[in-house]
Amino acid sequence: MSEIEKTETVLFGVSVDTIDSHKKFKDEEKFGFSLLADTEFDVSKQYSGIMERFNASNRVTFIIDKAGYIRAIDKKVNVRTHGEDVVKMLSNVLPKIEVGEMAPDFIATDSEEKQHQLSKFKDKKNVALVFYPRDFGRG
Amino acid sequence: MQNIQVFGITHNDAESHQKFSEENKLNFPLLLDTDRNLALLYGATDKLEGRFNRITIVIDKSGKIIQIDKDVNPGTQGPDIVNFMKSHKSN
Repeated sequence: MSEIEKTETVLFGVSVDTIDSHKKFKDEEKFGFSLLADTEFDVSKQYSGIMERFNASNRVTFIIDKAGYIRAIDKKVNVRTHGEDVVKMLSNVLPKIEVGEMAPDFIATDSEEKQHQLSKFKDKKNVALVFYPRDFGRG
Repeated sequence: MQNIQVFGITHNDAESHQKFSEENKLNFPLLLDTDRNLALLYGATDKLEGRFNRITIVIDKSGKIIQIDKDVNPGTQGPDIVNFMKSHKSN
């Protein structure tokens, strides 16, 4: 298991190159992760932005947690140390659910359509998150 | 429980939550987690289907996790949280 897999993370490389180009690149470099062909620039426009001079994606790394929150954006990617840097970033920014760790922030809506944000309770109240199997019935 | 805000969380929808809350006269909000984001984030499930595990996470005023209870007794859960908070304060 790789260092990245240990953090329960899936890695995707994204560029505007074609699938064929990706295949060749992947075979030559022996990557252990998928390369996404963003030939329509959809992902790049939304996330990295486009480098106009080369008509290509900017070099940016996004770290997204299991809840879909962006936890880090790295725009100063160092190509040589990128792998190690990502591993370091993951262990720094991904929430750890352990006693003594900071609880990851979230916004959620209750059944009366009222929004609640965890961080709004800071310095005001303790919070108990009671996860339970389902509303009705046993178990 | 003045000092603690309790949230109940499961994957059922608002209608089910509303009914459940009324029938059991719950005095705390039930959060909607139909897309399972909160449960995945806090480890109450690692699946995209099925029920959540019964797990309670207590967070103090500074935002730190102070208890992860995976052995919840649904019958005494309310008093259990109160007692935990009392014992935690005296520490």
